Amino acid sequence: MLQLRDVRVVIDGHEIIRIDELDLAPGSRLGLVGESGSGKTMTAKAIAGLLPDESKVSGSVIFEGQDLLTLNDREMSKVRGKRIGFVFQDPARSLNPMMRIGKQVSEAIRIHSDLKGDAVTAKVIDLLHQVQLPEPETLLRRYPHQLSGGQQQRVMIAAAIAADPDLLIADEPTTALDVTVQEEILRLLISLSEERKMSLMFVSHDLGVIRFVCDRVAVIYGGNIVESGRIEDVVAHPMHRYTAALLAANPGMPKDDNFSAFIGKRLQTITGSVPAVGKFPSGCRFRNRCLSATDACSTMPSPITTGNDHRYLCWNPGDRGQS
Amino acid sequence: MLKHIFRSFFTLIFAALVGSVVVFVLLRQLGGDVVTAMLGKEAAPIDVSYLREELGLNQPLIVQYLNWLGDIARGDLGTSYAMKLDVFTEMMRRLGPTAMLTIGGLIVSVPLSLILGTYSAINAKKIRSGFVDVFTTVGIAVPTFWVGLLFALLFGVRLGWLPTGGYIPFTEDPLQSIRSVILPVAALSLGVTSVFTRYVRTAMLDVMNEDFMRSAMARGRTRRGAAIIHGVRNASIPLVTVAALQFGQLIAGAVVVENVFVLPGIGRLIVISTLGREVVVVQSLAMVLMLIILILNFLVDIAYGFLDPRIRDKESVDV
Repeated sequence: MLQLRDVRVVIDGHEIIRIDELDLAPGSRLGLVGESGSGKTMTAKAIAGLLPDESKVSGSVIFEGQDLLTLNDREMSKVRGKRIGFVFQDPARSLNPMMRIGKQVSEAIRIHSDLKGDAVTAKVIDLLHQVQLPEPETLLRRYPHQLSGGQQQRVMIAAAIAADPDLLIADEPTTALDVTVQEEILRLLISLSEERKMSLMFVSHDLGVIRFVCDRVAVIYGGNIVESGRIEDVVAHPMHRYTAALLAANPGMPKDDNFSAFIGKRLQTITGSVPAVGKFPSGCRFRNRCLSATDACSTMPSPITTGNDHRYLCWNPGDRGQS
Repeated sequence: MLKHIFRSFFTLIFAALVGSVVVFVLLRQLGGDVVTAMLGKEAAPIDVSYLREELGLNQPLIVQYLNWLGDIARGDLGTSYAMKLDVFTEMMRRLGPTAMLTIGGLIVSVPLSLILGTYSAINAKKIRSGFVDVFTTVGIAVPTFWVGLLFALLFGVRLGWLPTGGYIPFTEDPLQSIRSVILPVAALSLGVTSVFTRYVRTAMLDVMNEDFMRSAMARGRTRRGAAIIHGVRNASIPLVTVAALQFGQLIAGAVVVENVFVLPGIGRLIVISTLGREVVVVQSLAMVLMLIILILNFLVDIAYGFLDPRIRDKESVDV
């Protein structure tokens, strides 16, 4: 339903995003994972057409047969909210502090449908029920600051799915929340996607969270999708060295979910940090931080696809040597 | 909220007292001796001492000040010496033109600024916002009296569309009354609109970067739709404060415009009294205008609390 082909985003002469191929099947949940600065949020924004004005986007973002990159702001506004819903990272800042909850949840309904008056209110109450918020009738008259962070994010989700979109893009939706609230929101997103047969694109820096939510994953580094595939394949057999390093750096990723197994075990880190925009090396963008880099890595590898649509860009693949 | 109102009220009283001292001391000191100012240097000593007695100038300065404050509190603004008029009555008689000018200026400049400022903010990176910038720069740069004269010459004398001066009370003939203030209001609004447009633009640009604007667009609002529905309301919080300050500018501008267009308003009274060296009258009028502006600021301060639900909910507000 969503296909990105040769998508490039250039800002100030720097190529921020270069995605040759990224697919999302109907009803599936795709995780987009990477460190901060890897381009994951930029990718989500490129799909939404919400990139800053000075960015130049090329390639194609085909959504349900239509190339979104050819649409202008007005045409794109008919896609946003109606066919693609969005949930963002910081719910407190993503809600309008001066507008009642009900009005914000009903916004997409009022923009994209002919429903009026009580019918809209009824739908908003139903939506607030669906995101498991208590007392929807009184809640819709309240203001965002009167709610907790978790409740605010549920409101954001209700607002995002109000016009029944086919795809929901969630950009770090739980990062700003408490761990206990996090899991509730993740479960809510999973159940909503299943009940509504709604595809989900889940952007996160946390592979553990993505493994919990998604069936497929795409690992992004330096604006490139370095590896993609079914989540269990990628976690069990990471092919790209960056994926392997991410997995090794994640304490929540033991294969047997046995907490005691990694108590006292030293957590691995990825050497260095994500280079600044325009400071990435040529060829494989990870090679200056990669422990297994060879001379071949100075040219861009071609994608390799193995069984189960497991795709990666690495000259020196495999999980050999990395635990 | 109650604490917020209380604090604003305290600020109002304090500012009024400080302001009254400034008005009093400045006019007494800058104008030199009040009686000499009123009667001239060649006045007969007997007249001088008689007037000194009548104005209470022989009392200590602090007593004079307190007497004056007390009189104002009772609504007694003193008497014009030359015209033998009660200042309060005269002010009320002249309220009409001034009220029409300032309220008219508000009605014109606030919506116009909101439209121009928002337009300029939405199109910030496009050439068309430059037209707004040119307009506001010119509007801020040209003095009000000059604009008034230009308008009078062009629309009044050359084209003959509108009267160049004089005032018809609204109660007498509403249509002619409005016609008589169109040019003055236009001249008055130009500068205020230009300044306020700049404020609106800045406030809107700040709001446009907020996350909730992106959320609104993600729900299907266009950039313009989001700016109008979500932006203006959020930008209004800093703007109401500026709007109250701009009202002070309108009153100051009215003084100038009334004199250009010969409107019998309070501004005209101030100029006549100043030229006639009527220190007592000028002092009282200045105080009244200052009180009007201060009370308006107080009301805006409270409105501010009602506008923002976050402030409304708080028991104490740390402003």
